[in-house]
Amino acid sequence: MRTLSLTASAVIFLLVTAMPIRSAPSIVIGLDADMSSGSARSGEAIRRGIVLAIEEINRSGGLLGRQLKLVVKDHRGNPARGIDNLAAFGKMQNLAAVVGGLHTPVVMAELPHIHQYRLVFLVPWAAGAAITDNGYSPNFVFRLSVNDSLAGPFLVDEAARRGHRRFGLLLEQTAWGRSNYQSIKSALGVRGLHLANLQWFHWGVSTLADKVSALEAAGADAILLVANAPEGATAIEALAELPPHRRLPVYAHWGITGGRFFDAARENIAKVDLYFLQTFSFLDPPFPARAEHMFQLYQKSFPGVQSQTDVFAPAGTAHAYDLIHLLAQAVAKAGTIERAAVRRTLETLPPMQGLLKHYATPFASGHHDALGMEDFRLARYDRQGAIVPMGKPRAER
Amino acid sequence: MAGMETTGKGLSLRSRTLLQVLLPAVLVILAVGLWVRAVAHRTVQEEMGRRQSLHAKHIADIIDTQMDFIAAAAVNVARNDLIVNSLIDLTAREIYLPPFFNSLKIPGFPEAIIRMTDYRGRPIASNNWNNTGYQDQPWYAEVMKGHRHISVSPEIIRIATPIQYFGKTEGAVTVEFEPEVFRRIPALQSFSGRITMEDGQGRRLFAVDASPSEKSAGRADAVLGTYRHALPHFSDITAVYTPAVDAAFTQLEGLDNFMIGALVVNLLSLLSGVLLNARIVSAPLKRFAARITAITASKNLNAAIDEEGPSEYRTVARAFNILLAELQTSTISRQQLEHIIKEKTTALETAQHELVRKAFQAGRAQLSGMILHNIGNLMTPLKVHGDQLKSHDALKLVCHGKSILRELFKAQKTTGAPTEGSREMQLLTDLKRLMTFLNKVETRRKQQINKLNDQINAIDDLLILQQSQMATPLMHNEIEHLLPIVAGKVHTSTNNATTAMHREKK
Repeated sequence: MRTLSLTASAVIFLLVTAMPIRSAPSIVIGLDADMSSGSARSGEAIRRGIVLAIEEINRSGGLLGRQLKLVVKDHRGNPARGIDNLAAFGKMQNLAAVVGGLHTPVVMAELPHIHQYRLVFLVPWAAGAAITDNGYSPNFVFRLSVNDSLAGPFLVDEAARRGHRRFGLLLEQTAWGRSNYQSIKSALGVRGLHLANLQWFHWGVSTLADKVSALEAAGADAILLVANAPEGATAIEALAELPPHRRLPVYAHWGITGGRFFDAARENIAKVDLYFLQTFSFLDPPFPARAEHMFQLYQKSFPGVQSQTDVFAPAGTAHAYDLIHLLAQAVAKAGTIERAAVRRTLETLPPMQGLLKHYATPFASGHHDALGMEDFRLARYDRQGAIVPMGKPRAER
Repeated sequence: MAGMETTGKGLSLRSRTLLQVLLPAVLVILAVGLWVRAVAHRTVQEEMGRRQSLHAKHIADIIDTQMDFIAAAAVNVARNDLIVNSLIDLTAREIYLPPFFNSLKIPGFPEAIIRMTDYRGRPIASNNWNNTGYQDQPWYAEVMKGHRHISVSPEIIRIATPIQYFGKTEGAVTVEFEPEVFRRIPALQSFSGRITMEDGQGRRLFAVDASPSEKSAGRADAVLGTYRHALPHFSDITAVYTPAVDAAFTQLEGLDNFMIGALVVNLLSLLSGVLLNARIVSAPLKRFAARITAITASKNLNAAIDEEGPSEYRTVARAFNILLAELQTSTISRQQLEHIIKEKTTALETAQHELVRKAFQAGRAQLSGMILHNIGNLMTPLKVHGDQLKSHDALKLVCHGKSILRELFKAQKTTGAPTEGSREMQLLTDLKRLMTFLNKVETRRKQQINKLNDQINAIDDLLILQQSQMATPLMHNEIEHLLPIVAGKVHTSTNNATTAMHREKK
C-alpha cells in the first residue's frame, strides 16, 4: 500500500512537472512611427530607445512579472496609416501603451482615435503644441520631446543671441508648421523682433528656391526653418545655390534630423550656416555615466556602432528610452496595464533619474510634457554627419 | 453623209477608214482603257488599303494621345505637392482640397471624374458629388505597389495613378470617364467611316459612325475590310476603323468617270479625225478624178492637171502629167514603130525560110553522116574478121598438120618404117595428101582475104573522108553518088568472102 502510494505520488509529480508552465502573457508596447518613409530614421531611433529600455526592464524581471514586448507598425508619415495602426493597437490585448512618433500631423490625426481607444500614447518625437495641449480630457497623450510652443521661442532666442533681428519663416504647410508659426510669431512679438517674411511649402515640394529668394528679398537676416528631412534638404539646396553673401543662416527645428537629411544635403550643408534644435547628445550628455551605460547597451544591441558619433538621431533614442522607463514606473506603480490606470499613474509618477534629465515631476494633470526649454540646445552637423551639440542645455548652465 | 457613198463596187475612203481604222482603234482604246482601269483600281485599292491602315493608326494615335493626356493629367494631379501634402495635413485636406477638386477639370473631358483616395482606396476628395472609394478592389492593391492602373470596359475607362511621397505610395488619383467621351474628339469626326474602340476582350467601348458608313458598312467590310491598331501606350485598347466605302470609292468612281470621259473624248476625236482626214483626202482626189475624166473624154493628151494642194497630191499630179507627156510621145512614135516592125517581120520571115532550108540541109548532112558512121561501125567487125581469117585459122591448121607429120617421121625413125600396105602406111599417105590440099586451100584463101581487106579498107577510107567532109554541103552530092557504089562493092565482097569461108570450113 505504501509502495502504491509512493508510486502514485511519483507519477503525479512527474505529470505536474512535465506540464508546460503557462507563463503570463507579455506586456505589449506598440510603436506607431515612420519606419520607411522620409523620416524613417526617426522611427528607427525611437525603436532603438524602446528596445534598449525593454531589454533593461526584461533583464530586471519585467513588469508585473511579465516580459515586455514591442510591436512595430509603420505609418510612413501618413495619418491614414497611423489611424489604421491605432485601430489595430486598440484591439490588441495586453497593450500597455503606444509610442507614436514623427510626425505631428499624424499624431494630430490620431488624437480622436487615441482617445476613442483610450490608448496611453507616448510621444518621443513630435513637437506640435496641440499634441499634448489637445483639449481631450482625460488626456491620454504624454510627451517627452520638444514642444513647439517652447521650440519657437528657443530658436528665436538663439538666433537673436547671434545678432539676428529680421527673420524669415520657412514652414511646412502642416499642423506642425502652423504650430511653429504661432509660437515663433508670438516669440518675435514678445521680443520685439521682426518677421520679415513667411513662406509655406508642401510636403513633396521639388524646389524652394523661389521661397528662399523671397525671404532674402524681404530683408530677412536669418531663416527659421520648420521642415522634415526631405523638404529640409530641398531648402538647404536652394540656399546653397545662392551666392555666398546671400546665403542666410538657418535655425531649424529638429525635424530635419529625422531622416537622411545629411546624406541628401551633405555638400550643401557645408555651404550653409545651419543650426538646429536638439535635446540630447552622447557627445556631451547631461549625465555621462548614464549615457555611457546607455551607449554600451546600444553597442551591444546594435553592432557596428563604434563611437557615439555613429548613433543617429540620438535625441529620439534617448526620449524613447526615458519614456519607456517612465511607463514602466507607471505600470509598476499602478500594478496593472489597464490603460486608464496607467494614464492616471503617469500623471502622478515619482521623480526618476532619466538619461536626459532628472524628472522631478515628469507629468502632471494638465502638463503632459516632460521636457522644457531648459532641456533644449543647438547643434550642428560635423563633416561626417555627426550631430555635435553647441554648448550646454540651459538646465545645465 | 457626204463621202460615205460608195464608188463603184468598193467603199468610200471615209467608210473604209471608219471600218479599218475606227473599229480597231475603238477596240484598242477600250482594251487599253479597261487595262488602265484594272491597274488603276488595283493601285488605288492598294493605296487605299495603306491609307486606311494609316488612318487606323492615326485614329489609334489620336485616342492614345487623348488617353495619354488624361493619364498625364492624373499624374500631374497626383504629383501636385498640395495633393501630396493633403495626404499628411488634415487641415489642407479639409480646407483646400474641396475647392481645388471642385474646380478640377480635364480640358476636353469635363465629365471626367477625378478622385483622390488614400492608401486603402478610401475617398479623400473628388470633383464629383458621388465620391465613392475603391476599398477592397483588387486593382487598387496594384496601384499601391506604385503601378499605374488602366481598366477599360464599355461602361467606364479608369486610369489610376499612385500618389507617392519619398518613393512610397500613399494614395491615388483616379480619373474615370465613359468611353463615349471619345466620340466628341473633333479629330475623330473627320474620318468618314466607323471608328470603334475595343477592349482586351473585344468588347466595344464606343463607336463613332459617319453617316455614310452605316448604310454601306457591309460593302465596306466586304471590300475594304477593317483596320485594327492597338493604342501605343494602352495596349488593352484597340482602335478599329471601318472606312466608309462610299467615301473610299469616291476616288475610284471619279477615276471611272474620268476614264469613261476620256474614252468618249478619245473616240469622238478619233471619229472627227477620221472624218476630217477623209474629207481632206477625198476632196483633192475627187478633183483629180474629175480632171482625169475630162482628159479622157477630150482625148487631149496636151492637157495637164494643176499641181496644187498637199505635196502628195502635187507629186501625184506631177507624175500624172509626166505620164500624159510620155503617153503623147508614145502615140507619135507608134506609127514609125509599126513600119519598122513590118520590115523587120518580112526580113525575119525571109531569114526564117533560109534558116529552115539550111537547117534541112544541115540535118540531112547530119543524117547522112550518122548513116555513114553507122556503116563504118558495121565494117569494123568485117575488117577484123577478115584479118583473123587471114592470119589465123587455116594457117594454124596447116602448121599443126606439119608438126604432126614431123612427129610421125621422127617416130618412124625410132620405131622403124611402117610397112607398105600397113594401116600406118595408109594413114601416113592420107595425111600427106591432106596436107597438100590444105596448103592449096590456104593459098587461095589468103588471096581472097587480101582482096576482101583491100575493099574494106577502101570503103573505110571513103567513110573517113565522107565524115570529115560531111559538113560541107558541096560534098554531099558526091557522097550520095558514092554510096550506092560502095554499097554494091561491099555487098559483093562480103558475099564472096562469106562463101569462101563457108567452103573452107567444110
